[in-house]
Amino acid sequence: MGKELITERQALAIMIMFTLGSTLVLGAGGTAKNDVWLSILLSMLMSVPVLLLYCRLQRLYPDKNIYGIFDAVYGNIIGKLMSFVFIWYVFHLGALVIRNFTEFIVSVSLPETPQNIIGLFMIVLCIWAVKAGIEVISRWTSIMLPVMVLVILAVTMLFAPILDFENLKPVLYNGFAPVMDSAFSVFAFPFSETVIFLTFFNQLTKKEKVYKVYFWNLIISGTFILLVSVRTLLSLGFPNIDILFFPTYASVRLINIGDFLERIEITVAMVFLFAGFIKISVCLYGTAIGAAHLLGYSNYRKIVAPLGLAMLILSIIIYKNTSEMFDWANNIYKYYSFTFEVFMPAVTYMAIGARKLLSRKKKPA
Amino acid sequence: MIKRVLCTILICSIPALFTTGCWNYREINQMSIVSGAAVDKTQDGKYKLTVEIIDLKSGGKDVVIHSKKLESYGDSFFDAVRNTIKFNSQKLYWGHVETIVISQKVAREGILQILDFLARDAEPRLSIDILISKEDTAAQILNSQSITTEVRAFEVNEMLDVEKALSKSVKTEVYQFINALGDEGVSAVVPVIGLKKNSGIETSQLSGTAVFKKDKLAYMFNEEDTKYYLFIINKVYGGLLVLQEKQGKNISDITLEIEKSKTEIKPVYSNGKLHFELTIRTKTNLGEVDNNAKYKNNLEFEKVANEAEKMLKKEVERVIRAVQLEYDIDIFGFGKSVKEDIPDLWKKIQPQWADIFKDVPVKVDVDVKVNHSGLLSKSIMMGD
Repeated sequence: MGKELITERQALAIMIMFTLGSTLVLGAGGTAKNDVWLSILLSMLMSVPVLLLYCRLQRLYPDKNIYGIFDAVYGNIIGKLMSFVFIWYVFHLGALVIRNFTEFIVSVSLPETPQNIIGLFMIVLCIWAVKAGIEVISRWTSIMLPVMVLVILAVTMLFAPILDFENLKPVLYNGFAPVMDSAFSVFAFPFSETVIFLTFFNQLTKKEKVYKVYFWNLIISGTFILLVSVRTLLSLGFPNIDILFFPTYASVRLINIGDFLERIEITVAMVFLFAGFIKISVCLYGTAIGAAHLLGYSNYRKIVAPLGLAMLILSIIIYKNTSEMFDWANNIYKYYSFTFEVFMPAVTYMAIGARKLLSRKKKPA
Repeated sequence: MIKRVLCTILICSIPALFTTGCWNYREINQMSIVSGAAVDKTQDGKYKLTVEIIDLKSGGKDVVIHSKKLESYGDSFFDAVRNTIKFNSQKLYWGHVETIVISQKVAREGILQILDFLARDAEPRLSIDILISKEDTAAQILNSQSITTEVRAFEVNEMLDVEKALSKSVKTEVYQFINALGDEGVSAVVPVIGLKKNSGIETSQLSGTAVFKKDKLAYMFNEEDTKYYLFIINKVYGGLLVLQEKQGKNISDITLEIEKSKTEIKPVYSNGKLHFELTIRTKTNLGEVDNNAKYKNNLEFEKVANEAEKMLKKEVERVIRAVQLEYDIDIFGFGKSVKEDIPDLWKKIQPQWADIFKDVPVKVDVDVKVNHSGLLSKSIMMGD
């Protein structure tokens, strides 16, 4: 079996689904209160240098994924260690996303169904998808992304009667600090989580298009996140967003057009699940490639199923309850993920630079 | 090969045995769909819940939706909800609830726990209408006869929607109440519903507004004041303006129909003094002209508009003054407008807002326009 290839359009579609994935469910930048729009715009700006870094890394080693880059830069032992740490991040993120979605489903629609069963169904599907390969995932995404975009846009239009623009005021009432804090949150989750795509972007058909994929994703996903967050704020108002676990879903429940067009939240929940499915699959794929690389397997498919099930188990034991999950997502995750999203790529980039300098010095001698 | 296929089929069919149907399987005939609820408290402080459930038994060809009432008691609101199982085998389904009527007694003690249940539980929507019963109990409202539909709670909800053409009642949904509770510089208001005899049967009617201080009912005012209150908070979408003027023995009547109205509250802070500028812009049409009316000629629209402006200004000022004098509860959102437009000032005055609100001057500027006069070019002529 030859190496699987994806076009930049497919890569972009997957990345948009991935970025919107759990962000729309959990809501982005809630701590910024009325200034959520500002913090999302800021976080998009903050993401630019980091995304440039990812693209640069990929361009320096166009045929290697991030695990291969680690090996090439740090040598076999430290490289493998770095790979292991990075695999942990991808694996852990997959578990977090599974937990987000099972928690969401159990909270809003199936309160009596055991969470593990819902998670099991999700992960089995993801295992299947990942085993089928990234080409299959990308083709599925190409079909489902337009559906998702259509649903988001259509639902946004239905919001028109219940939008209250007064909710945007007052701007910067609590100063700039909470806005920055929340911008950092949105930067860490979801924009910089796209670092995971470095695990398979060596499979792009046109490698030089990696910049295009990353930055179009930033613009498109950023716009959607902005749109959804602002419409949620405008409809529900700030005190509600503060107390609700799933504000996006709750705001869609408010829609009632002429006693006729109402109860459409299930379409939105479905779309959330599509995106979640892609996000989990991408995480699982990244983990499997990494694990195969670490163990020296030529084919990652053998270890997808055990890794997927392990991910599910981690998702079950990781939090005690929903509140703990939100505390982690809002307050801790941004610092934790900084290591993997910024620190590791940056250090690697510097190491590459240092190597070049050293080798240049050696040559004339 | 065949062995493999058979094996796969066998393995696939094993889970099928265990996964028939959903875990949360709930068929419509196994649940009681609640359309509305009324909350009271008994003498010993227990919650008394009256729920209206939709009776889905269809009688022959014509399916008529009927409703039934259930009464249950409990130590907390949720307890009362669950206690219905003691006498009704079907679990209540709260996904279709449209209205909740709360008795004055419960409201005076605070409705936070009811709101909490409605917002926390997955079934009820945040768009449920909250109403306060003007009568002794809330159950009376739910038990009254409805006129056009069989389901009381749905009709109340529809009345509140059609209210837009009358503008004599507010409409407050759960999430709006929660917002008003959480926001600074504004208090929650909720419509009041009472009973009325209508061709022999007791039916319910919207009758004014209830004002909350935090989550506790403070006082209520009538629907006439509610109309001018709606003008102040920019929630007028229709309704009438009746101009009455005594001319000797006769009363001159001109009724204007409101087409559109917009109000802006602008806080002004100058020389260390805060005052508000209220600008009301109303577009109206001539709806009805009395034969004693002072102005009959269509060319006198300007004068009619001036009269209306004077009347509206007087009434709005009266309502503001009355609320300020008697209570220290900011139901107009004046404080909120300060917070939105002059945030720095709000940070300073917020702790004393209740005192400041009591005698903050409000300048009212009203502009009424009369645009159309319906199908008549002048009022009906009377010969001698």
